[in-house]
Amino acid sequence: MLKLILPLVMLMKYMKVCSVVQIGLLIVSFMVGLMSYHDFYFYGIGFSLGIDSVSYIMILLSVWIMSLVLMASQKVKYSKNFYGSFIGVNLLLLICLLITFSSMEYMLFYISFEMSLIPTLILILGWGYQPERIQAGIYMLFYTLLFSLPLLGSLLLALNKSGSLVILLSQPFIYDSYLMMIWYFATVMAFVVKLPMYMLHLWLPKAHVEAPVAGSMILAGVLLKLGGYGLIRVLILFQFMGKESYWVWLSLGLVGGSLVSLMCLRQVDMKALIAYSSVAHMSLVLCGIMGFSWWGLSGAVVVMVGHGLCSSGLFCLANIVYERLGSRSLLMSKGLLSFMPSMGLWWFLLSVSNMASPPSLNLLGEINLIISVVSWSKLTMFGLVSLSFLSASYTLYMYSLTQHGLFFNSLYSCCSGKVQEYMILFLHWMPLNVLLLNSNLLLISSLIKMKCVKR
Amino acid sequence: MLSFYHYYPSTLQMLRTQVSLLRRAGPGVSVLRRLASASPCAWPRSCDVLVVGGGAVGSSSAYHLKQRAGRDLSVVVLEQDPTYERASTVLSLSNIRQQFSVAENTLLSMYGVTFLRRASELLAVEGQDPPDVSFFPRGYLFVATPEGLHQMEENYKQQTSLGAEVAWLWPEQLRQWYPWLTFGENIAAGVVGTNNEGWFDPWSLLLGMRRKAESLGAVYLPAKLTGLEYQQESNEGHRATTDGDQTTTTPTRSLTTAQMRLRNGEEREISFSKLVVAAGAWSGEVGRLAGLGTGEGILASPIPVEPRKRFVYTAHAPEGPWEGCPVYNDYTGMYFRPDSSNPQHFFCARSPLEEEEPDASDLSVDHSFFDTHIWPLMVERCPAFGNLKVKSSWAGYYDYNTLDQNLILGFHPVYTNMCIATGLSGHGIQQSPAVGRAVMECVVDGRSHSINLDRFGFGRILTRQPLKEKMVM
Repeated sequence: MLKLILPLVMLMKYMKVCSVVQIGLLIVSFMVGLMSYHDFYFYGIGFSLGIDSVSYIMILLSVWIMSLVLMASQKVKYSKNFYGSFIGVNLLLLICLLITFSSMEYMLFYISFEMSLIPTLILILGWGYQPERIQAGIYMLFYTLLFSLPLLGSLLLALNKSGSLVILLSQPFIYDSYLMMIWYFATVMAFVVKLPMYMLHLWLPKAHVEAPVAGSMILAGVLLKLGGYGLIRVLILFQFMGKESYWVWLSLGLVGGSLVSLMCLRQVDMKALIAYSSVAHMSLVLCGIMGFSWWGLSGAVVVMVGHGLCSSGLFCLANIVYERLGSRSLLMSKGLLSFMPSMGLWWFLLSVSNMASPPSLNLLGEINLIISVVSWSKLTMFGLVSLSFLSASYTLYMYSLTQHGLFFNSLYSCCSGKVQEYMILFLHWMPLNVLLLNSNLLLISSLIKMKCVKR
Repeated sequence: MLSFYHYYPSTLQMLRTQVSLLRRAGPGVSVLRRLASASPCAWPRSCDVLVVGGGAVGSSSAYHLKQRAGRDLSVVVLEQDPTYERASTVLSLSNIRQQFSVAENTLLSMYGVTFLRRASELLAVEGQDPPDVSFFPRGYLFVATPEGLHQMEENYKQQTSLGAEVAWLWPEQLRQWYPWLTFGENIAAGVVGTNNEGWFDPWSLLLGMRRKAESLGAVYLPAKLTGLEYQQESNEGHRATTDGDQTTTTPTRSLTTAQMRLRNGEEREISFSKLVVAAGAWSGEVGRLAGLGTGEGILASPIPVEPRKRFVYTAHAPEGPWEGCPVYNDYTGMYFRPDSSNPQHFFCARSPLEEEEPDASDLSVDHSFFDTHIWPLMVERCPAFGNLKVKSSWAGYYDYNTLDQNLILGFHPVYTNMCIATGLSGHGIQQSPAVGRAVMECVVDGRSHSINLDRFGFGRILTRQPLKEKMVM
């Protein structure tokens, strides 16, 4: 793992030189890609860091998204808005994320999980566009911190009970008293807030809308997956309690996801619409992970990757429109097909992946998730129907409202898209639709990793 | 999105002030209340639509935009004088007529009348009395000499085809309808509006629209626009003009931020997506801030609107034709109408000729103008005005369109997000509701479709093709 972290630390020396860092990050993501044909259970072990399949996917995703983030933030450089510190903060965030995803110990995982909040907060407060970002930062910080303090307590209790917090050595706790349910909830709530689940999701629209494009992309792309990843790691310990309380998460996920999808249809701000769609996607992921079945976990990981790429790409598109028109309101940014015709292709490809249409990763993940959820109970079909249908409806709403329609009176166009923007969007879309062909990289293939106890 | 902001130079400063405000609230107060009271109100830092000018056209645009979009669009109106001391809106006589020679003008005024009739319902704000625009539909009487008879007949045909309610009066009918007016042999015919013409109260309309717009969420800022910044759009969109052999191309630009100055001298900045120039008589100055008139090619044409001073005199005529008097508009350009709030008082005015334009630097009144140019004509038309006495007078500005004295509406070809809505030159207040609706349609839909105002675009300024009202002589 040091082979990845040390180059990133060294890249921080070149904070002031934007091009070096961008190329450096792409090289690092290539290096991470080289490790994809791993066949060890846990490898890269050292300094209590190690990678297995899930970790590897998340690390690849985070480095990939971060390199795209730096490419998309050229405006920070042009307006001379402290771009050295900006790159430094982003790299620091990436290092925290790498440590989080590759930590082999729950305590190190917790510390770096909390640590990743600070660069995100600095990013939102420092480079956001509007003054509401103070409130957005406070919401994000306090939602996550409030629910993750019990997580610290529960990890210490786990240390006490089992003597070691190394993930590999952890055994599921035997569920012998109802008090352990409180322990379970204390642990799981931190990740459920981060994911986010429906009733604890208020921080997400605020943070996404007020963050700069870099912040939105990294939030939607990777930071939400911290919640999912943490759940996968922590549920190993709490399988038996999870079995009893699955219905809670399932109901909240399905019903909450449908409600949030309905909220999407009422939005006027493009970024708010994409943010609410993130909540809807993640609620389905929550249902999949909490079931802790093979189908569910695989589907959850695949949807996390697909959603990360897709939402991040959509935020990038929203920013492209905002830079040209000065407004994110859907009323003002209509008829973009006449205004920026070539960008319409990327709007289409990313929107279509957002509503999980073939041949995107999101489709594969959603199929797996639907199978896992329906196998638990057939009644869930109602929730799944409304979730899928509404997800298609708000995506079509957003695409049609922005692209179709009249735009201005005269023959007027503007720069349809700079090559750099096309490249960023291409790099977002390419894994979405091409990685499907080699999705054994993403589907978790070893039962041993999950340490699933036979039900 | 509208975002409010007590103006800070940096994020750190903002955070420190917030914390100190929290501390200032005192230890005895609960944390929640301290947090709630800690945010000072606010100066918007960005908006979707910035309307420059809070007069009739500006307030009407803000009202229509908010009516259409509600919370979906944030609208900020810059009005440099909240008391409207020199605004044309409140200094105008606020007459409304349908008798124009340009068809679109008739349609605009007809919508204005519909709006006025429904004003107390449309502009009602909950918890406050509905505005009363005091519309007096007394009609407008135009008379023509034999030379102008043909033009008047054409105008009459067009107006009736558009649905205006006007009546043609031959001299006998004129004498029958208006016995107190003397019509000599030089009067060939007259047209009077039997409905939907008259006068109203400009203050109520302005304040009604402003209050309704504010209640729907528009923000009015008491500041003067001092600067405009733009960004170059791209290398693809160009606008070209040819002057003889030379063709200059200008790449399209979009305006991004506006600088403004408050009354106490502080400077502020606001970023916007669309700009509406509704500054009335000062629209030419606003154009100059964007470089219109000082550049090359298309940018060499300024917004051709300048302030022109017009006088209005109030006269008391004890035997004057108080009952049933319409707005009388003579072929010489003189017009008078009764003051409905003051018995036997009449407002009289006349547009001076080009050579006699008074100096527009202040609003002082030239009293001799009445004695030389207006009174003799009034006495000739109505002998009862012989013993009138001028009681008071005032002056106001026309937002005079030097090209053709008609509306300029539409987006500028180079500054693609600057919507111009000015140049109404004296018939502004009556068309302000319709122009506001047209601005809303331009901003949201791209063009004004309820009334097709394409002919009033800025293009005619560049090609120097005036669209003049054919005045009846």
